[in-house]
Amino acid sequence: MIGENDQLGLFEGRDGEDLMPSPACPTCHTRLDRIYADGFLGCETCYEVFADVVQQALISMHGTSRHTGKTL
Amino acid sequence: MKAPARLAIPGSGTGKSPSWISGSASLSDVVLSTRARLARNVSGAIFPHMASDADLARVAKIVLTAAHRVQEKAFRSMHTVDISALNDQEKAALVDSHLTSVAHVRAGKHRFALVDDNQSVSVLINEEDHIRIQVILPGMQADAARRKADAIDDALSQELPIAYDKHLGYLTASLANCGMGLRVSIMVHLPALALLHRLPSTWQAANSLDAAVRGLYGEGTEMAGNIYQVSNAVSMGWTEAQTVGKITAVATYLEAEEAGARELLIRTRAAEMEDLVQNAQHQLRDAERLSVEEGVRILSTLRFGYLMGYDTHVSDTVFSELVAGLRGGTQLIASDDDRARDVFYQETRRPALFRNRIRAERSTVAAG
Repeated sequence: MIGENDQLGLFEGRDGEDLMPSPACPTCHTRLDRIYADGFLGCETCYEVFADVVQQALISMHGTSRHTGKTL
Repeated sequence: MKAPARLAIPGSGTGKSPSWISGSASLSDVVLSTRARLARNVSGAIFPHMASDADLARVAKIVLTAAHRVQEKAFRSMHTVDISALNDQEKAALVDSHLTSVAHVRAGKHRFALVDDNQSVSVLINEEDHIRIQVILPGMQADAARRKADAIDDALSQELPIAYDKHLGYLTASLANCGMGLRVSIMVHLPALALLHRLPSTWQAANSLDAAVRGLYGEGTEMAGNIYQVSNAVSMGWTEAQTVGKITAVATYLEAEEAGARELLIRTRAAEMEDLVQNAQHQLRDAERLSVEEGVRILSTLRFGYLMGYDTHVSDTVFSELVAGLRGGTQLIASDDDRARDVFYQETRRPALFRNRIRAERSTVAAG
């Protein structure tokens, strides 16, 4: 369940969502609860499908979600 | 201060070492080596931990093809290593040389490493990300290591579609690496701070400079012999140059703290330090077996003694060479049976290996 794996602390105060099935990425099938658990995404599509969660997690890890380094 | 008793044990030296062991650079009393690592993924391909065998094989093929195409300008003398074709000893040697990771050699098929002649540059294929470009240099050379990795990245990026977003930067398997995908790590040796029990406050200060601390063989490994890896804690919101600047600031801070601690120990606890170094020499002289932990602890004390002016002959080069040759990697990757057999073998040959190398160094110094 999301609550048990919430190492990023993103689900605090959102217990109701524990009952919902975890959505999955249509490309690689990575489930959202996996991303909450360890911060690992399965493919580029995960970044789009779970954009809000990704942004929150990046801010929690890096203090920002804005890349300022090298450009491709 | 009198010099401790000299060791006199027969034997020979060790084999070829990676170039990052034998060079010299600034801040080298504290910073043993510097590593810059870039994480990149091939656009349109599933990241390794979720990928099928067919996905991994396809990525390996296109990355190897691209790497061979740019070899001339980017690499010079790179060798392709098929990790799954290696035996456990060869895998352990790669891990010990820090050319790849424990996770990479354990991961199974379609994992490759491109390694240069100097064993300073490696490109890992299908590790945590599709591509990990890694450069290791001796001493404190964060900017040089970063620039070298960057040049390889530039060359590969011209040949491959790279997973990148203009807001988020380089898209990596772990959100911890998203953004620059850059980790600059320095391997530091801090025996005096450890003796004074000052490491907790030192790490607190390092953390406030946005640095993270880990053990000798990376995440989840123990911190043996007061050798630590210090690296940037975040990969977003900074530029690559700022990251190098922050790690350089941490190195400068650690160097000053360790130098201060050494001075204090010499001034106030000289006799105790002399005993400590002599005990380590006697332990090595008398040892029939040495575990990795015992080995690195003795080497740490003997290098500390060398830096304090004792005649231990454990110079920077000898220390780095013997630490890299500790074969700790075997314990991390081998199967249970092989591990037990190999650990016994390594433990029994280790004392002579150390003594022989130190003896060779003493002969070189005497001849010079």
